[in-house]
Amino acid sequence: MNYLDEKSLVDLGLLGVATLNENYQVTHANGDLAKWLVEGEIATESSLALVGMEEELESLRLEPGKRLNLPDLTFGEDQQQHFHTVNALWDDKAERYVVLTTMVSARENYLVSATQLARAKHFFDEQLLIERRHFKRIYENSPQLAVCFRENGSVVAISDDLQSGYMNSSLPESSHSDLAEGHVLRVLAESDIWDAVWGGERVQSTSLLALNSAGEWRNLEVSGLKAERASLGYYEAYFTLIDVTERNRALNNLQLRRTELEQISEQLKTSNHRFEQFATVAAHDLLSPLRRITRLSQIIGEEFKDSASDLLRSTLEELNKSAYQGRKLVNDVMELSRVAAMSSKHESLMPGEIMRIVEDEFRFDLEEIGAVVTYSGADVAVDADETLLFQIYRNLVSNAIKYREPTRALCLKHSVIEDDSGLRIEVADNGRGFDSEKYDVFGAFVRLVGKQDVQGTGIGLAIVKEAVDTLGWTISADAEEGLGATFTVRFN
Amino acid sequence: MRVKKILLAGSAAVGKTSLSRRLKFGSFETDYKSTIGVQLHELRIEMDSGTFPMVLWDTDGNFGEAIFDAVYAKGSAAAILVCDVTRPDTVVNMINIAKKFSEVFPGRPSMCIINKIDIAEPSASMLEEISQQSDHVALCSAKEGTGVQEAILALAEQIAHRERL
Repeated sequence: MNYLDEKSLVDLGLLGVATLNENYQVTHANGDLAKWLVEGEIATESSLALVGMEEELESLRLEPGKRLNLPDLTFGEDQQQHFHTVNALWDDKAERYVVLTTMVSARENYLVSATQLARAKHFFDEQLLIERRHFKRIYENSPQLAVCFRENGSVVAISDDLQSGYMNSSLPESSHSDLAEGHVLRVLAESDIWDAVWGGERVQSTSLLALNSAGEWRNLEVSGLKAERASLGYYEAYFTLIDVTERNRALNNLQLRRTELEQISEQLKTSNHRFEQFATVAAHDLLSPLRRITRLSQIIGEEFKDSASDLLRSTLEELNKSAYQGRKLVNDVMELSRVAAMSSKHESLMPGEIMRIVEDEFRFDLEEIGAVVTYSGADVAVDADETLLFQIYRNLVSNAIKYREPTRALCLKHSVIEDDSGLRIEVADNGRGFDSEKYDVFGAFVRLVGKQDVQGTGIGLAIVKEAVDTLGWTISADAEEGLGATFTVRFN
Repeated sequence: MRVKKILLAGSAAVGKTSLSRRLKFGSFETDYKSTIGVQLHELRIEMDSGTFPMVLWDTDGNFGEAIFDAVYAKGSAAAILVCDVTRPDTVVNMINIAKKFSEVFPGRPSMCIINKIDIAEPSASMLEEISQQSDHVALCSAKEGTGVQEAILALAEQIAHRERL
């Protein structure tokens, strides 16, 4: 700290330098920090971050040169995630803590985007851990170097990680940075930036290429300015060099992945649109001849009203039934594709309440067959789409009615259960059941062997499954032949 | 009173930032933006005995229990631990963090907040499970502002009480 004055540090891109007293009150600050400083207050970024860090601060006193580094801090009232790193060190000569606060916006873009990407890919934890490590590496390496030169090219001072300085013109023997400083400084001295700075220009964000100690080319962001040492009557130039290779690479990768995702999403949109068009046309083309068959069989029935044989009558009845069944099938398929294509709106809903409404919708059917519906467990709110939740209950109830066991009254039980395994809802019936090991009842067109007397298209449970999938939940069926079935919805 | 550091922790998206915004600005924002790293807020709690200054460390929910390995938890005088009433996994996580906090900082008070009670009420079993770990449980809605001030006041009283001992 004693080799560059505080003004120069701020000129080199630091947010500010503040000194604090033992109550974390700022006694002095400069740069941007001075804008927010109220004399005697503790409410500056640096001092807020140091509250509670007594032990750590004490250890700085005991080990001169040691630095307390608090990365990833965000401040401000605007909800913008501007990243700060607060560094504190003990200045033994002046017997004071010196607190450096740096802010780098590029980091925000990088980490926020990485987080979103990771979410999209469903491997959040792993990805985030990798990104954090990756990011730590980038950040620990920047800002790396602050250098002060004389006009003849000799180094007046150099700091590694702005932590310790060298007051002679020789280069440090070792450094925490992996940049080969000697080479870097030569590259800098031979670049146009050098001439521009000595020509009096304030240079910033210019990319410089240099080799690191491992022989790899690195991108450096350089900023430099020329200042007069008035008291001594000569000029010096200050430079900061930041290794932005990893940052650039990460940003490029993100851009590439974003473009890839955009392309995939575009392709999906196109194929979905084509499918929807096809489904609409196919349904229309299928429904027209079926309606025609119904109409024609009615004409024949009316024409031969008085003279029709029993065979003709029963044939016409069968024909009508088949046409009706065909129309229902097409409508159900349309419904299935509609549910699959639906983007769900989420709101807080009580499943038990929805079930009661559906029970009311089916009231006449349920009363006709003498069914009993019971409820257990306290109803809880779930995040769901109303239309989809109705689809689920309507199909489950209608299925229970269709596949009831005719020799006994239908009992339908709705239970809300919350235990160690989480929240679930069960809809159980005492109907015909099925062998749940043998059948995937949630597949489209699955109709159970031996249930041919029951009217149905085999699509009801496929619609339920699509709706459950769209909501991000899971459904399972547990059933036994002749004893009934239980459908369990879990909210993940 | 000397300024105290308060750790605010819990799973991602349980409403930590909403709670801290409710405490700091008395408002609620509907836009969700996940906190990366940590966000610091200075609070001044008005108590009968005077003003109690606090620095609230609103941490990134993705840390989980690893928060104690990071510098963020260091030197906390107390903790506010948050869960989402509608997500049982966040309750388990909150209890684990509360346990860890009492191990790392024995005797320092912590407050368990069940957030989002505007959406659902906590079950009796949930309340019992949390009460077994923590003496201080508060039901809050950062969205509607219910219970938030009361919770921070109760925690401040606890810290002040501990100071006097």
